[in-house]
Amino acid sequence: MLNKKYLIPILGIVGAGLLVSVPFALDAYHSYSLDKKIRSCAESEASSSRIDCWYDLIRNGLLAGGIAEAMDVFSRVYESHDDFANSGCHTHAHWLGDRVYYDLYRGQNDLSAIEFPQSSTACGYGLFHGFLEHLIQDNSDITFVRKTCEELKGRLEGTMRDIGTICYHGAGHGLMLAQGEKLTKESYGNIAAYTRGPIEQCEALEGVTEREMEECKEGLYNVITQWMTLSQYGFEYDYEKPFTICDAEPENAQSACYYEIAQKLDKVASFDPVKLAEVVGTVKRQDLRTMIFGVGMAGIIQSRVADEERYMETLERCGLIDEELFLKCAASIVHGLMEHGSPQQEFRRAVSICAHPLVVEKGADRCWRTYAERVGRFYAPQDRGEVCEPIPDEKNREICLTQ
Amino acid sequence: MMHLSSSVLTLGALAGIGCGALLGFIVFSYDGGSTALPPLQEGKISIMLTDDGYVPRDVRITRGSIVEFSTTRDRPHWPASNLHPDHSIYSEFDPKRPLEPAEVWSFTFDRPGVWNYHDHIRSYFTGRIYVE
Repeated sequence: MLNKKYLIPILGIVGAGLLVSVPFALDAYHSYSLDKKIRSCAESEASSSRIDCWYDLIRNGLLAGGIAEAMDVFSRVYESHDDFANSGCHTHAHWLGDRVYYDLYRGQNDLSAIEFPQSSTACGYGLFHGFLEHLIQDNSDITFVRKTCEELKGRLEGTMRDIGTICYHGAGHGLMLAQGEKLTKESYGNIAAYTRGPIEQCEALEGVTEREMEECKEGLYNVITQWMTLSQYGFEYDYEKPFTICDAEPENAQSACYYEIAQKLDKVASFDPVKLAEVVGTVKRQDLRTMIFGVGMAGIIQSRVADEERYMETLERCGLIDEELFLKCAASIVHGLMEHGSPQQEFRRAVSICAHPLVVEKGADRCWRTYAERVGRFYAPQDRGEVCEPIPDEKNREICLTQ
Repeated sequence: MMHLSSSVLTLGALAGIGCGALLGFIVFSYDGGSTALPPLQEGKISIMLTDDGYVPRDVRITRGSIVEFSTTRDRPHWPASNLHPDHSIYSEFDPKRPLEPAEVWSFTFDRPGVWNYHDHIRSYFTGRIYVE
């Protein structure tokens, strides 16, 4: 028979044990259950059905715990299933931004109430693109654009360096979607009818940087380019002469048009850097060729980001181009891996490119410079220690830590 | 005596942690049962896009039923299957163009399954169609 004087302390300790262990059990179960559901989605035969099923899980996370929880589910899917990562990580993040707009913003109309964790920057800030695209589609005047972007910059720029340019880019998407709603089928395929008004809106943004205004225009052409690839609104992507459409655009919008059309050069170049270099060599605007090559390379990497063998194979193909373009090629792969990498883990794969013997042999400085300059886009200053540590030289490490 | 009491206390703590973990796992393993499905309908069913989204948002129909999509909004609408923007999970479920506000678009669902859909123009408006 247990002595009564021990009973109360024992019950107290048992109770404390219960209190300590229940949250751990809950967490373990949540994790176990989520991973099981993620695996279950993977059983669908069609890739689009698998992704749709994962979207449902990500949305459940959003409704239960906001963007942070949704991004946790997003990261788990990304890390465990290559087809999710390789099928357009930016598009998936865009979709989540749509949901954030509807589930967290619409009805409340309070931007300050939405918490954007650092992982919101993942996949080229796709979440912000999707969110802002609809916010501006529903409020398509430039005063609202400026107010929104300045508010986001004030709040987030300290840890998300590129939020300003991203915001104006997303606004460009929204301005074009709003324009698309105003036009009738008589205007289908008439690029001037679609772009002239929104270009004027971007140009009328007061007090913005040149880069921000350019991003606004790139956002417009991003939407047009998507319509082209999907054969919507009377537009078609010209796989023979993709940039012809840009040459007829106003001079102040041509570089934005070229930039966005270049995002879809992956198919034109059959996902091959050597062929891409040939295609770029035929581009009329010589001043834009280097930019076009870089953008085209990032597009190629998007579809092989989760497959180390394939992106290393791409790097080896880069080695067949001349030395100058090889260095640009390697830097573009780094750019692509950072842009489409796993949330807050982007740096791991990018580092492997700059440390590759082929790159080291030809001079890795440009590669590390590109890496260092991209880090501030995704990582908060306090989280950059491990990210910047692999950089071998002091100068680039300093850029990585401070820019 | 000291030796006995510390053993008892340690056992008590371990028992508490064990029971807590087990209890937590059991309690939270219960997912509240499956989500209630909408009532099964057949024939011709209407779904309307309003300023707040699709009404009804989710429908459950028999194979071969026709769903008519319309809108109360004064803007074009474009119902289509997921995924946005290429509508690949059920590519026929897509009018392939924006519909005028007054235009009604009908689609016969002849493939059993669970089909998520959205408005292509404002892709945040979504819904789900269960076809049995």
